[in-house]
Amino acid sequence: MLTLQSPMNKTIARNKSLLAGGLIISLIILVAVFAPFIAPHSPLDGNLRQSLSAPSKTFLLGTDRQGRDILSRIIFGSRIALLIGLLTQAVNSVIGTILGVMAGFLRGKTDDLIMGVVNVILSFPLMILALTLMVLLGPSLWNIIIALGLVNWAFTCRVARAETLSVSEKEFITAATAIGVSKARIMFRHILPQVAGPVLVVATLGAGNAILIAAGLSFLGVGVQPPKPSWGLMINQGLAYIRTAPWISLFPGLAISILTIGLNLLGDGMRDVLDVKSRAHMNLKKED
Amino acid sequence: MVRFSRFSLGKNEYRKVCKGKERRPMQLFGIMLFALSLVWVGGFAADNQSEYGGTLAFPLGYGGTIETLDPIIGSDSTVVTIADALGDGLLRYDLETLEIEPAIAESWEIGPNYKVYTFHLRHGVQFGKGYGEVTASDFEYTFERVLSFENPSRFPHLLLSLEGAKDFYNGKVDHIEGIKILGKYTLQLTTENPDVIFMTTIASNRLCVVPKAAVEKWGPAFGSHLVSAGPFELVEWVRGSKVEVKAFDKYYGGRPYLDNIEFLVMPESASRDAAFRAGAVDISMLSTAVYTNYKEDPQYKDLIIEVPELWTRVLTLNLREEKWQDVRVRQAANYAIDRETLNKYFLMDKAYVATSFLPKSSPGFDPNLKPYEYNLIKARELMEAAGYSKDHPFEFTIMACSDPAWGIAGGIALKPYLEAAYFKLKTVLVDSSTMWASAAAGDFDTYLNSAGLAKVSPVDFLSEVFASTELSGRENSAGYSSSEFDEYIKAARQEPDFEKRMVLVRKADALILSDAAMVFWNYSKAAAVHQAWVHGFVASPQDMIYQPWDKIWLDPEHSGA
Amino acid sequence: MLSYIVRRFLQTIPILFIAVTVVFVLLSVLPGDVALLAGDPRIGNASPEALQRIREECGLNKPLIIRYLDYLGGLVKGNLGFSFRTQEYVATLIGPRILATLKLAIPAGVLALSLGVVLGSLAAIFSGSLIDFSLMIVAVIGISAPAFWLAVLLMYFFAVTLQLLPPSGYGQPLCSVLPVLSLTIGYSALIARTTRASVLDVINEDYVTTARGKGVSEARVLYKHVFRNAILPIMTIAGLEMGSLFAGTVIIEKVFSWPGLGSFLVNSVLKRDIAAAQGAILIYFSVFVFINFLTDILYVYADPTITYE
Repeated sequence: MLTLQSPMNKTIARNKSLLAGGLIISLIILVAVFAPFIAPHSPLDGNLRQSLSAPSKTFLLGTDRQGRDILSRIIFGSRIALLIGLLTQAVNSVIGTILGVMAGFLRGKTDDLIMGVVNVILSFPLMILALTLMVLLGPSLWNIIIALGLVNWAFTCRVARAETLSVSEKEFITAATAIGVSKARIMFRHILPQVAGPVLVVATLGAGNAILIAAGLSFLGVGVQPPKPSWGLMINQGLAYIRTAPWISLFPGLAISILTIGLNLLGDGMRDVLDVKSRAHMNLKKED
Repeated sequence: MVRFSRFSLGKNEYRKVCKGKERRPMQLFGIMLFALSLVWVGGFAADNQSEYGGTLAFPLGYGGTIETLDPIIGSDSTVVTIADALGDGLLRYDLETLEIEPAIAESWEIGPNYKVYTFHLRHGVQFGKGYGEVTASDFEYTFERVLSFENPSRFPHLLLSLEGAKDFYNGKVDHIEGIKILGKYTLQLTTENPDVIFMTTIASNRLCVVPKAAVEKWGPAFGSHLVSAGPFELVEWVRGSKVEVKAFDKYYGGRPYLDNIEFLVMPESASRDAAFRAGAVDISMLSTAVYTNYKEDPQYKDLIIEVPELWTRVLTLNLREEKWQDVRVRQAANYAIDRETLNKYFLMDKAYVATSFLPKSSPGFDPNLKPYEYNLIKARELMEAAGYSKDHPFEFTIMACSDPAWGIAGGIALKPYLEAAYFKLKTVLVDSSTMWASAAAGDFDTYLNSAGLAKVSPVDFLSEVFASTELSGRENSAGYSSSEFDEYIKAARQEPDFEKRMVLVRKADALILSDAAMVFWNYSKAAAVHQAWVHGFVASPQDMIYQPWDKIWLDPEHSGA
Repeated sequence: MLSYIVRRFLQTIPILFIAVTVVFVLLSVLPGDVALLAGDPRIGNASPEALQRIREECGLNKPLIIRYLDYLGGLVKGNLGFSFRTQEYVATLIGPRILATLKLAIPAGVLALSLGVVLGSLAAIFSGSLIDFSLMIVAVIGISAPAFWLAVLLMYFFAVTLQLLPPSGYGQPLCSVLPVLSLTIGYSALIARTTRASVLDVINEDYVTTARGKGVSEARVLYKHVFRNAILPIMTIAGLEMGSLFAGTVIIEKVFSWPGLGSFLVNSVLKRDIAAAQGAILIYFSVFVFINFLTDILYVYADPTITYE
């Protein structure tokens, strides 16, 4: 069992991370939701005559080569980032939880099969898997979500399974089985709520990772398509201008960093709160 | 000389006298020694003052990598420019004026019908890497290789006009009728039909001569070990990083000035820019991103070379689709875009407003032809006449690649202009391979491209893209078909007089314009900045990276490196 | 121990097999003939008969199962496929690129491990203090900021503005500084966080308090009891993330035009050179599987409490 240190520090650490993370994420969600009201200009329409202008009163973060306001694009880009984070993790969580609970509760051949697939998937770096799928599917926002959704559920599955295993030992489960409650009902009504916590932590941390990978794919040119204001794509577009107009690449990167920091802090805090064995993957040998 | 006997004088006096007199021969000897050493030292210093020596660091921007060194297989212009350094063919272009010059062929006769071409090769031209002397049969081998399906050759069309070439390419015969060896140094080429621009075609930098022994030795790996008879020899190719070549002493044109050239793979324009400013590379092709910055920089503005290139940026329309067959719609699109503003603010002045398809630098360009002016009202009128309006717009898709100058960013820039004229468009980004494949298959709505392939002959420049296929419209992805145009081209191909030929070319170009066969946007402006210590770079309209490698030299202080 | 190694090694084989099959299906089958042939130089000129000849040459007209078996057979012999675009065997193209990537990944890995362990331990030892707080803030930023953005920033400061380091290139040792640095940041931040957590866990264990109580010097306590126990989880994470480091080179190499496996993969993808992309992806998978294998072996070797069934 791995625990943190004294209760006092734990509380402080938990509160700081959770608070900071929660604050950042809430802010970004607000920005995304109210984007049309907050953004000073349109993210897609630009005035060519004002292309590549440095940060000024009109364009707080400058403009890009199409004359579009960087700040507005970043604001609207938060929608893309959050969408990617949310949807990929939703898919991952659903697939991972269902399979993980099944594996942990039903055990036997089901468990072997599912864990076999999980081990195979976890054998490969996410970035390369995602890139492979993008080669096939072609660049677009939805293809990224599909690609990441399809390949990133393995870790969630493992965590869900670990939780299921420990919960299964508990008495009320044994009692329910004895009474004759159907397996499906047990899994759904009794195990699932217990598993939700750790899965949520994984999803939060995973969202940050998904956003980084999606940004990377867009940066390479195989991700979100222009003219969408994807932050990763904006960094790509600004690369040629790094000396003459560095603001084009600088600010979107800052935005990604802030969002991911927020998600990581939030996830850290949640993990501490739940005192979860999210280091479950380190125990892989001991559990099998 | 007066001799003093040593017996008639005392020792000291003798010495004194001897010193005085024998100093003369000694003096002379001393003076000679001194003079010799002056010459020696001076000559050594003069060697340091010479233009010979040094390594040129030349960054290549395109494509992210060099695929192959074989100019028959590789498609990029990077392949050609390296092949230019390593090889020579029968003829070559003066890179600035685009006139044909003798290369390995020192003289030639053209038969009365523009069908028979007899070339006399220089004697004693050597292949690099010790592969011996270049003879006429080496050219036969080289041309057969170009026309070979198995090779695989990408450019058989350069020589398909030769008699019997088509049958050879299709494997029906194993020898090309139109290539005859009349002697060790005499080669005769015969074309199937009279071809007045054959000489321009044969001077293509892809047709450098290669030794059979080397090709057979390396097999498919020849593409990494290209040997020819050019001013430089290959030293090594570090894939993804650089190609290094060194001066070939036995080059028939005399040893080039430079000792070495390093072609560096530098696809990121930011890296090239940084490397140039740090003095690590000798030249940098300027992108639209930094062009203005350099033009305003007092340190570099006089070191910029610019030239209108032989490339026209257009929006190619799929004329096979019914909706594009209404000339009013096509003209409306041409009236709707504000080329001046786009060129100034989107392309940062690194482009020229396009009139029709032939670029400014082409000999067939007609300065009196008027481009479509920016006239939104006229555009709307035409669209309304064609049945479109704000509520019922003309919908279409633009396919584009990621090139910063003529790729999807251009489509995004065009969008507001076209949408103001009752068009409604969507942009789609694809990788360039997919784009060319779709274009060739006619599987597109419209696509943005930089067209013309830097063809030197304006007849080829136009006909490749607009002639109906029988007349070599190989790049006619749009499906343009006009018998009037074809007539002009046919006549031009048979008109030996240059001026008269240009009249026909101009007529063809004007027809394309009035037909609004495409949406014409801009002619590319190539601009490069070079370090002050580099000399010999020229304004090369085919592609700025094509440079006369044998004529480039560095200031002596930089030759030592 | 040896039997465990062998068994574990045998376990990697089915995984690799699955990888090969998945990659084959995804990249040799699904894209379709047109896409697969797109790179061949003759496509532009090809008549339908010629197209058919090209298909035969490339083996695309054979039944699927034959193509699959041919592919497997080729792999065993070291033939990763043939790139039509460049007319070279993929294996020839890939060899030097793998070396180039290793030249980034290994120094970055070593540097990041050292830095991460040291800083993480410091944070743990002085936990609760300003040192701990600031180190951990930096660490969170390190794992959150996109590596390619940090790479761009580094290039901007050191190559463009200060002109202290070359922005790209290969051959001189200085050229590798910026790419290695870019890779190191994220990885060392991760290791630092893991180290801190691991050390903190151990530091609060009873046997450590006991050792202190017995009067053992702090340094000896740290070394003998804390680190040796803390190192296991660190090692596991480090090993697992090493694969991510190797994968991270994909993007970093593009920023610095480093001629490694990553830029090779990206270029192949962007140019639709499917055979080359396939070869590169297989190499990445194989390396990753191998790293996992090594990590497992090391872990079992280092942890005496584990019994190998």
